Amino acid sequence: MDPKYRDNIHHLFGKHISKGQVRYLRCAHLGTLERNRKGIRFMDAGSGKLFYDAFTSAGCFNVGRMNESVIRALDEALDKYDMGSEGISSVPKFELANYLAKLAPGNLSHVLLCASAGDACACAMRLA
Amino acid sequence: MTMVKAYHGHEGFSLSGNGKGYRGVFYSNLLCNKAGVCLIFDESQTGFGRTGKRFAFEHFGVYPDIMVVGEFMTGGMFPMTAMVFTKELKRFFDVHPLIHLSTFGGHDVGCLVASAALDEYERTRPWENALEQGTTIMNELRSVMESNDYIKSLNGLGLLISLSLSSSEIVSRLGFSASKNGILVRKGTVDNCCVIIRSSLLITADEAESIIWGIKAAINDL
Repeated sequence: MDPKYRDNIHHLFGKHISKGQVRYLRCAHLGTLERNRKGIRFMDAGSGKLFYDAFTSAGCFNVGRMNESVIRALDEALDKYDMGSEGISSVPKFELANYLAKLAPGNLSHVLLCASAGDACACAMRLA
Repeated sequence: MTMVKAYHGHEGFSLSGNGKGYRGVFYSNLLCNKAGVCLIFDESQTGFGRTGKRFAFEHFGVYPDIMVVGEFMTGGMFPMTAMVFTKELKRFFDVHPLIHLSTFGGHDVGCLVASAALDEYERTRPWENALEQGTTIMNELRSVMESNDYIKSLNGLGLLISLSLSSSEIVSRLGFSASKNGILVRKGTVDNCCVIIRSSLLITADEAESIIWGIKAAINDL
């Protein structure tokens, strides 16, 4: 990738999302542009260099990047489902809640599905 | 209400290593029980194996009233999380259902992706590998720590590892050198004098060896 193109992406990222974040990423040497990702590695679009990912976006990639069985599930799900109606029951919702409740130790038996960790933490604090 | 993050990845893992953390969590649980308040464990970074057990709170032998399950639940392919809680709290929720609404919370596509990711967690049991590879990385880094004045401490459990250095500037230099060696590591956002090493839980012994080499070489370049 042309370095000017990468600089332009960073410029637009700063202009429309956050200049501070661009400064932070550069200072922390996280200015890579992720392209191909597989297993524990990804390629920097700018240099073509392969990186070992020892960051994993706060642990989101516990089972590796682009895990094939997870991608397959996403692919199959998109053939049959949209988001579903909020507050209306469905088989996928029931099955996931049942699965999580079975895996959770102690007396943790009920599940609320959320969109982010912040969403889940906010609800946890309100419920407590 | 008491909210506990079992291991503070961005604060040099202050709870682990010296035993105070274990006692702290244990007493938090006792105090919560005594006062009748809820104990929440935020497992958004540590759940499903990061610290060498399925959930980090299992190291302490105490159980929360609420557990937050983070984005790892969908293997990095869909934005979805969950909160798991007790039957007693569900009674309160039934009476006050409007305390929290989340339009995308029960996304059907996300549910199917999460179920597949949970299958993958159960199939691979990554907490076992995390403990093994994490211990190897920690031991190897400990061997260079003694001969380097910039390193103040090395803490962690499983594959959640933190290297505390003498200043934020030294952390940046280490990150730059590691990057040159093809390793992406992150500076702590709360304690910016520490470097977080947090790879996939399915890392092989050879991949762990490459990360060790890259970090050691970066330390030697300081």
